[in-house]
Amino acid sequence: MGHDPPVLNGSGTGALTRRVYIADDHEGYRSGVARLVAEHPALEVVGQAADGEQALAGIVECQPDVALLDVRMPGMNGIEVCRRLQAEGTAPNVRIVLITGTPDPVLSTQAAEAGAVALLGKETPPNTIAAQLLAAAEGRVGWSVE
Amino acid sequence: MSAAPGDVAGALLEALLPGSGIGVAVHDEHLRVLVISPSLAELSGTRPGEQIGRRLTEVLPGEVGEVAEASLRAVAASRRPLLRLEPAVEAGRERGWLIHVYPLEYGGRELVAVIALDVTESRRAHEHLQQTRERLDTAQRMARVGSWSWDVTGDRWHWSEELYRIAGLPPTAPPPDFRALLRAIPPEHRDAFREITSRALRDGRPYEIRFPVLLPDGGRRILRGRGVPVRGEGGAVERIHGFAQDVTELARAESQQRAAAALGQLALSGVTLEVLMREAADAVATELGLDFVGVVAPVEEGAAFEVRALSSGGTPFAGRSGVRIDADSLTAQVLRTGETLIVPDWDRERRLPRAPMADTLGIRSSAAVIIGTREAPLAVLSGHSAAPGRVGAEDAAFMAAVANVIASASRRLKSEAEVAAGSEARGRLVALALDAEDRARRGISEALHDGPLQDLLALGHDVERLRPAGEGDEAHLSRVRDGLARAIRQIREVMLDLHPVQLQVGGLQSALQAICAQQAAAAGYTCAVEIEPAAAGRRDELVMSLARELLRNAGKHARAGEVLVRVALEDGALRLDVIDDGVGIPPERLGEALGEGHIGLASSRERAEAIGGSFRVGPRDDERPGTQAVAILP
Repeated sequence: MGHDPPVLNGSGTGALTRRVYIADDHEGYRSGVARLVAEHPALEVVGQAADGEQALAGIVECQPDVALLDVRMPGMNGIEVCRRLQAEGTAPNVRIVLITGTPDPVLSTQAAEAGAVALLGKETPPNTIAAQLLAAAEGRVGWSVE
Repeated sequence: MSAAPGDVAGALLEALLPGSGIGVAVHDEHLRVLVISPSLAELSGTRPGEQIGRRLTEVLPGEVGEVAEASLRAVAASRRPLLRLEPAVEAGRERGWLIHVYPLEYGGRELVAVIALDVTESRRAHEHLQQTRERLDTAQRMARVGSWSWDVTGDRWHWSEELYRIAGLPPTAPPPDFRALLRAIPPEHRDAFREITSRALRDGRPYEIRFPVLLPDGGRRILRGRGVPVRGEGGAVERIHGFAQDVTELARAESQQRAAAALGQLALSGVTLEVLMREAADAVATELGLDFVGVVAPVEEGAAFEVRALSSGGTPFAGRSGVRIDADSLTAQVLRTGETLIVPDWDRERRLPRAPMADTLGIRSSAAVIIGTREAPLAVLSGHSAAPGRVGAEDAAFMAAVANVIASASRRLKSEAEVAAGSEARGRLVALALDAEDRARRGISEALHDGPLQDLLALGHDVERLRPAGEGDEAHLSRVRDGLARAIRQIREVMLDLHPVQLQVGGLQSALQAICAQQAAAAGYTCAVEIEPAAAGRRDELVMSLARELLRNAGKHARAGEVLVRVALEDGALRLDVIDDGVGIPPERLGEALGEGHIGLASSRERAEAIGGSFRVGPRDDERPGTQAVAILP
């Protein structure tokens, strides 16, 4: 997965493009999300990962504005990646949004405790996901579960 | 006919006609008939005139005359009277005459007089009485019943012959009075005997009592006595008639039966074979009054023997192993043949070599029976006495009964052990099978999650990107979206049924809540989950599996309104409680359910027990209506 530096968006408005890192072990879902992020005018994909270990290293390296992490991934799950980043302080400005195929209230609590700003269900519509990522990147998201 | 036919004596003599029952005769110094009454003459089928001046040998034919004259000669010589009973046959009827021959001095002459008395009737009566007595005596002897009567007023006792025999007294001895009788009764039984007799004298009612008596030869018998008081004209008891039956054998049989039954009960109570053998040896020693009783078992194909139990007059002492027993010994012989062996007297024994213990312990008689069968011998039970002839067939019969109890107990213990081992193995297999099933469920669930579910979710995003190109496309897209959402929901349901993937990320709390929510929605109850934080992460998979089964039961059978799932630590072990407020479960229902093929609860138990835990289902601990299932998982 490639990592790109943060850049100004191509709309010419001068607004910052928010840098997004995506981690999901399901290639189809991950590429779908990457596509919708890439197509969003205020977002760009700066890196992708297919497991937790890779995601942890990539996020530290890319220092994105926001990371969308699948909860269930091989090796290290999304919540654990979130905890590690919080504990290690290696990406202090990254906002973490977790996403899961099996949302439930306990998971939400655990996600919040781990330091994530949101937990989304994977059936969340693409536009909503993009909006949540942007809001998270801009620090406008408190805590929500979709 | 007579010396002076005209005088009074002559007339009297003449009057003694045949059939009068009395006959007289006088013989001279030469034993010739001087005078004879017609009644006596008729005995030899003659008339008096035909006998006067003749000797009996001349009148009576053959041996009869010889014998009769020998009596006269003996009296003439000894001048001492002689009394004899003379059988005779008259007109085809057997008759008896009492003949009294005595010396008679008359006019300086030494004569011999004969007076004969017809005692046919009295003899018959006597014989009848005698026969009746003999029959009674025989009956009493056969039944071992002796009769007695006590003339209370005169304090006179009468005992039947059999009662003498039972009491071990010579029949010629005077019957013992009440005091002597009391002395023959062991002291601890005297009060009861005294009391029942006093009461009978007081109230005149029949009574019955069983009591032991000590015989003069040191023996002991158990008697069953019955007394029937008879009141005199004044109303007071003047006499008691009664009988006493020797019930020693009966009492012994009853006691042995009780002892065998007690051993049977003991065997069923779950004691070890060792304890049972020891108790059996004691019981045999006590019941049969033997000096030594032993249980000897072969060790490894009979190469050596082990004394499993030993009792000396009821006092057990420890067993020894590795005892050497000769191949031709009593024990070895019984093991070889499977037959009961009795040695009435070791001093006269020819079949078996003299046992060493016969000398060391002073044993004279023995019996030995096999425990088990010849094909599968378990041990040999032997009993020994220091008295010759003391151990007999009856003792061996009781020993065989005891041996049977031990053999059955051994068979039962063996089959119980086999069943327990089988059950344990089955339990392990069930637990392994269920664990494997859990793994398979988890595998399928994860595969569903990581594969089809993610595919559908991604597909959902792709569908969202589609824009309707023509008329009707929006409706198509809407159906596709609905279909996708339905498929995603169904896959999630199936995953929860199989194995909640939440466990891997969200842990026990997340997984249990997911299951609870699913089951509660399906069965229409509300469900709460309480998990002590320290209890999570220990046996999450098993806890979840058990909880799912119990939650399903709460919905299907208990008709619960509220269910609580609680996971906590208790004494270092994990405790899972699933408590509902439903209709409860009768204890017998658990067994029935298993019989009907509902293995849910039974398999839950197997799984808990397979890891050394426990599982129970029953009324709630707080005694409120409903059911409480508790699994303790170490």
